[in-house]
Amino acid sequence: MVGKGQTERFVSTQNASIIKNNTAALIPISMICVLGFLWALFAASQGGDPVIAPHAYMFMFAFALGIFALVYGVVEHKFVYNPYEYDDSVIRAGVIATIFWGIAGMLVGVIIASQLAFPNFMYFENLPWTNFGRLRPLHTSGVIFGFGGNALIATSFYIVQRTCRTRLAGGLWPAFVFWGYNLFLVIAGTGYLMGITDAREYAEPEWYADIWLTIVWVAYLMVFMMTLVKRKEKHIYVANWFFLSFIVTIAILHIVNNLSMPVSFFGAKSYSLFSGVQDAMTQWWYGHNAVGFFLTTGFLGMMYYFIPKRANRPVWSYKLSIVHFWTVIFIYIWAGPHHLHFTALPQWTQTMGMVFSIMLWMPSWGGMINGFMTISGAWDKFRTDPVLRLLIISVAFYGMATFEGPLMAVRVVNALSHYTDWTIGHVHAGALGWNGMVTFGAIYCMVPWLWKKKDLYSLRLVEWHFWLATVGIAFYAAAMWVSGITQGLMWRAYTDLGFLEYSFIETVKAMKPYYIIRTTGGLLYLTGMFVLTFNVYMTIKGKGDAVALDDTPAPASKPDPTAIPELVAGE
Amino acid sequence: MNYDQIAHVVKLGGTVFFTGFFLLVLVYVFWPKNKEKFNKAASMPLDDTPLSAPLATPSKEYTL
Repeated sequence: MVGKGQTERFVSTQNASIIKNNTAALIPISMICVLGFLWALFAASQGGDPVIAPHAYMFMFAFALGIFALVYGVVEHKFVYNPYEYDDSVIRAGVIATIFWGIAGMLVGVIIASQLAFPNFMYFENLPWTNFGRLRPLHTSGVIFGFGGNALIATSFYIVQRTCRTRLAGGLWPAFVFWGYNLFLVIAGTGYLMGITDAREYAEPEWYADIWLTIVWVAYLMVFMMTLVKRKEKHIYVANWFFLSFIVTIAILHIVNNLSMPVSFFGAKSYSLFSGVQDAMTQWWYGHNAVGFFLTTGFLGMMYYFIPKRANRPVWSYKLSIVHFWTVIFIYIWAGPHHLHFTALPQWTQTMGMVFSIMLWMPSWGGMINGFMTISGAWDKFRTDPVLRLLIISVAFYGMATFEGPLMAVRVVNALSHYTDWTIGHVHAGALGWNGMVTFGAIYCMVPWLWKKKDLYSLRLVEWHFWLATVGIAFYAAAMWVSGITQGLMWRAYTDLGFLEYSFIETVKAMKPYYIIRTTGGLLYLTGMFVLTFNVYMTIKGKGDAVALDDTPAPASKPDPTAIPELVAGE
Repeated sequence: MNYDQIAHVVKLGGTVFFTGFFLLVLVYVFWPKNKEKFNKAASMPLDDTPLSAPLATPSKEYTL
């Protein structure tokens, strides 16, 4: 099947004479690199504490490399571009980074899942970084921010250009966003291993990494907004609204949640500006909206582009997509307090969080129905096209996870589910099923289009990936449901005399079989990721069905034998 | 203003604002004049015309 979106390959020949220089961003980016280098130099020499030194050297190396790349680009005239071509180089890099972080994050996930079943697995007493406590944030950040974040940046850049019919704004800034974001990931990940953490879940990096991410994120927001400003289509497509809400809200969440006072300007440690229940509420306002705006609205942007594109059908109901957008963003932002049921948080705030979580059923299922119904009239592709099937199954998991979440937010259900593995199962049904599958679908769509190939190396391998991932999730989620409910029931079991029936260690022992099943599920999912990597590599290499498309325009009169017949009204 | 008063205003104001905004969204979505626009927008991802191709309606040229 010939992927859509490939016609732009003809552009380069038509406009070969229109080449522009791309140097507007040179001065601010070099300023950032120089100032960053100076800070790192001082931190390395005057270090406020011993753990900052490795990070200071890494920053120095990265900024020196950045300055070198800028000088090299100017001297060798690398910063020229054709304004009538989409800027895809940063997206290609983003796809590769997505796969890299996906493998790294999922591999660490399998290791720590094994450690829960077999505590000594890959743990060495004299190597503190092999400890579960340090590896766990590496797993969560690796998959959420490494795999998910790179996928979001890449797909948002891809989609905003196509639906606005304009090249990315900002010249070198998109590349700054990509490399800067990945530098943040490296600093964050290595920091966890060294034991640097500010103890805020999913926001563990310390203040200097947070400031660096803020700079990168503002640049990302500016690139995205300026691309919207110079769009050639009057209407802003709904996927871009979702991406914009993701970028804006994550900026606000990140800045507010990480407000803190460093102990020393050149040291790693800082203390939060908030304390007590305000601190907890800020953290879970952030934490839940990271789910809502990073893992939901951003990925809904992917859904609203790649499902219509791959199915070659218009969005089922554009009206519904608008209602979906405004209700999701307005309701989601209030759902955070459901993480703090039965705490010092005022009762009405807890209830508000619970009520807004339940209200989320409506927009979430509205969006799910919109995703499903978009392939109505092309249901056969669900059977014949494994890429579309990945995209559709992701919507099924979106529906499932967004049903389960509000249920768990109800206070009486939460009394059983909170602090148990049920939460872990819920998170992974969403992350593996919804975020993972929609990203795989987007990667399989984009790779042939970005590298100008006729098709993927092998659709059979996509079929394999689909089943490995689906069975993996089934193992994972089922094991965690049973494990979580068992845990919850054991914790609240009393004897006739009013004593707790089980000691804590007894509940841990009861979990062992489920932890082994969970590890198996994770291993299957990781195997699927390796299959994807191989398939993408072979596609880029141009093997199998990934025949390179030449740059000469096809004669307009010759009909494409694989083209889908025109849609007839009422079909 | 004490805590209870603030909480009262926030709860009431929030409910009114939220409901009002939701109604505005519905009005926008079902406004008959917007039907045509939304029908066209639903097919936006399917548009494959290359970047250089002239648009059906002329638009002003932007520069970076």
